[in-house]
Amino acid sequence: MRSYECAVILHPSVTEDGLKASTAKYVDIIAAAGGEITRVETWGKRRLSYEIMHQPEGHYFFYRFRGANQLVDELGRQLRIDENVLRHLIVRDELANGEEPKLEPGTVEPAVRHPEREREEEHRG
Amino acid sequence: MAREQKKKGEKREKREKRPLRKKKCKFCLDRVTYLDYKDERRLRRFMTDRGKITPRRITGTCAKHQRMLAMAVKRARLIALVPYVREYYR
Repeated sequence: MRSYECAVILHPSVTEDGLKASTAKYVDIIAAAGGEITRVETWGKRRLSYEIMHQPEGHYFFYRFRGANQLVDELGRQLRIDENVLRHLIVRDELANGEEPKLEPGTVEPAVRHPEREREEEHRG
Repeated sequence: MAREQKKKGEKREKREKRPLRKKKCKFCLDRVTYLDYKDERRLRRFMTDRGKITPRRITGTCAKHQRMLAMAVKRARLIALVPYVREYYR
């Protein structure tokens, strides 16, 4: 089990009912595959930085969930089939306090000066 | 020979006028452990207005955070939060 975050951009012409149906659909898919949804977030209709399928806008949704890797494959497959989905992105959720966080808090180099290293870098330009 | 030395001297003087100041990695100062691709405003500060990722020689970002930044920007581009390219008038 791993934590993931899935971003979905839906077609701007999808009605409010359609949005609800879509959310319910993906929540069901995740649940059916043994996943556990931790959060569903929406940003509403938002302007895209560039047109996707000739659409200047899209509805943004973010699903955070925990699940097996098979679930990610299945979810990705379903998202690719869905014609209302302009774009989707599934990434590992590094913020969730699940196992295997890439960076433990506090492992980032503190802002300490390394005189030797700095001198070296200055020489390099 | 004498002229050459003078030239070198001039160059050195110019350097001294603008002393090198070590830039600090802004993410290290903030103790950033994860850069969110949804944080559009923060990412945009490290991008040119054309949509390119600013090189770290300009921003002073450390290698670790520059990698995180690149990853976050690329994800943000994928979901159209930030542009791949922004064209100007041709």
